[in-house]
Amino acid sequence: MEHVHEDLVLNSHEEKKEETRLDENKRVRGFYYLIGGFLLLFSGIFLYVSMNMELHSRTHETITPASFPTALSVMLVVLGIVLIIQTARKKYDHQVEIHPSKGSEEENDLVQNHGAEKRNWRNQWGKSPLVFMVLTVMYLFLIPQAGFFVTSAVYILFGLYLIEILSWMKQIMLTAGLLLFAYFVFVDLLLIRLPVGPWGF
Amino acid sequence: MFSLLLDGFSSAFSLQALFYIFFGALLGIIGGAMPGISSASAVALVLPFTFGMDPMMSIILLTAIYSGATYGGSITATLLNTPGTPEAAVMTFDGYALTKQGKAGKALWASLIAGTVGGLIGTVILIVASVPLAKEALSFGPPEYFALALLGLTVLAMLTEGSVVKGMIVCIFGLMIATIGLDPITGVQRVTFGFPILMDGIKFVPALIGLFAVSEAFDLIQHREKSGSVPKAGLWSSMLTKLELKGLIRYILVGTGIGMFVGIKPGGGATIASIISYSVAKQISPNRDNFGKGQLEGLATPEAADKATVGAALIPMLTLGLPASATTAVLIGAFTLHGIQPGPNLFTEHADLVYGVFAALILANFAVFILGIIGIPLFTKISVVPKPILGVIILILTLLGSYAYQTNMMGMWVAVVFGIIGYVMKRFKFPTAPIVLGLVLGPLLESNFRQSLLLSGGEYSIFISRPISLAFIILCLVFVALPIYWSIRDKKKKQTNEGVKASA
Repeated sequence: MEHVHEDLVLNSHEEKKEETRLDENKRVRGFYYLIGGFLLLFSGIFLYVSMNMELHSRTHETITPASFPTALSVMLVVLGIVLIIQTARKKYDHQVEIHPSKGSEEENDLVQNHGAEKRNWRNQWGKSPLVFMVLTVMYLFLIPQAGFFVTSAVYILFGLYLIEILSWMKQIMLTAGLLLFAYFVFVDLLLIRLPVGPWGF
Repeated sequence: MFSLLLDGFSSAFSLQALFYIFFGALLGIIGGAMPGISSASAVALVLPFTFGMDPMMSIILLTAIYSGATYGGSITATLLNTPGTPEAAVMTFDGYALTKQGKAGKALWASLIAGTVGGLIGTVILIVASVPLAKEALSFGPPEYFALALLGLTVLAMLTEGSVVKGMIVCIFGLMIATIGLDPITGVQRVTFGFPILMDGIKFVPALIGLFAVSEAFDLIQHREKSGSVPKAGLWSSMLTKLELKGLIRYILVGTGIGMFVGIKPGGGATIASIISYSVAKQISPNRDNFGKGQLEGLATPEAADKATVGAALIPMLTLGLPASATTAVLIGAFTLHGIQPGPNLFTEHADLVYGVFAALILANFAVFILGIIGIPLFTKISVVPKPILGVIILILTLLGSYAYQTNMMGMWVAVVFGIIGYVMKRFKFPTAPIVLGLVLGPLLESNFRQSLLLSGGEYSIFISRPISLAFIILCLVFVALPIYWSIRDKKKKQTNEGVKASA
């Protein structure tokens, strides 16, 4: 009797696993289509630009400056299509894990001292590479406006705050340390002028 | 040659150079020990800081880092069961098993000795082989260079791990990016999409920093696993016995041989070398059943192979200007940073530099050995810095570095865009080495192709009328044909098998 029960539990567990695997698989496939689409778009634009290139040089040559980019874009168009077809024909892709580091018990221990509500959004955002990519792009836009040091201080502090491993004291110390290092090595030693804000630093 | 090598040693023995060798080896070991920093990203991370340095010193520093980083990975593989570099993955099998048995010290000695011997033999072969090879390469004209670059790309795309389509996509993407900017022959603006800032082209070094370091930083941020405690390794009390050493010699030599052979061809790389050498060692060992349960040779063979690839990968890079691995591609970036083009001319125009590299590489092996003995407790402590913190630190340092490289925001933008591309590529198992080789080889491939045609007055026969270039092109065809032949053969086998099954 007990055995049967165990089997049932196992089966439903397996089913659930299978379901999530199928779900994952759908997502992975979606990403592959996205990559294929990006490749087609990129190579399409590249092809258009290189075919309409102004050459104003020895045009009697069979191989012009435009030939190489044109040929390469055509190849990438073909490969992009091949990738999409391959994706469509493939059933599973076990190669890719979308969540390599889903929160385990141990991981959550790290952040348990914080309030539950706070934990939710930071726990999610602080682990997302996408959030950091967006942050980094914003950071690059702001550097010429507000200067390297001010923007970087905000960027590093906010990044460390999202990650929430260090105490706030350590966060500030690490930020200060990195900025001092940047100052001494780049400004003082290598004499590189980093962008400054309207306030002169 | 020997007098030049002595000159190289005398410049490498200067106090400043010795400092850079030890410092580089130290940085390399630390980087290699940190999971997430490979030898390519360790070199790329430091590259921008060598900006104002003397070319010789900067090359010495970076070579020492390369040497140190290839060793560092095995420390954490052995002690913490986390490979610090991809090539150290197979070293966790026997290395960590030994640690669990309380034999961590012996394991570390074995990998240190194997790595040093492998690295030294690799360097000696590099020195012996590269001089005549460079002499031969001096007679190469544009057609030979074109054929060689084509061969490099073909081998890479065909033999790359994972899918051939992905390898080709990445490779062609790199070649396309390389065409942005001014045309190398006529100086016409190409695919700049109307942005004047793109006229200079996409600079290679920030792109590399993005692909290897920034992408890694994005990846590190999402990890939250707790780092394990570091086991104690009493190194002094656990030196290998004479008998153990004697038993290892054969495996170290086998590993070195495999490392040389795999490391010299494009896309070979240390990871493949260490995996192959592990399985070969398993086959030739009488204790093969105990592999994975703590066999010293299971650790020593891949370590020797790993370190031997350093010398091997430098052979095509120094003599032909062709990078065989991602790390050597970054090193090419270091040379070009100082306005020096690696290739056969390097041996005549900058002979001091070449022999300086040779001498530095030999000394770096000893430096790694010494640092390995002294510093292992320290390296393991640093390697347990929480990964997300490491990610943030890497992000800010790499962005600074890529700014410094171009002294404008363009460098940072290139690094971030390529960081995002590199992250997506890693996540979906696109190999990163082909994009780098595409970036490096693209201009070489194109300008030599067009120069050849200018030479021949538009006759394509120039590529097959010259024996060396013909040989390279035939090799290309073989490399394209082989995988196709194999897949057809396998399909036929399958069909006949199914046919047999069906009739039965």
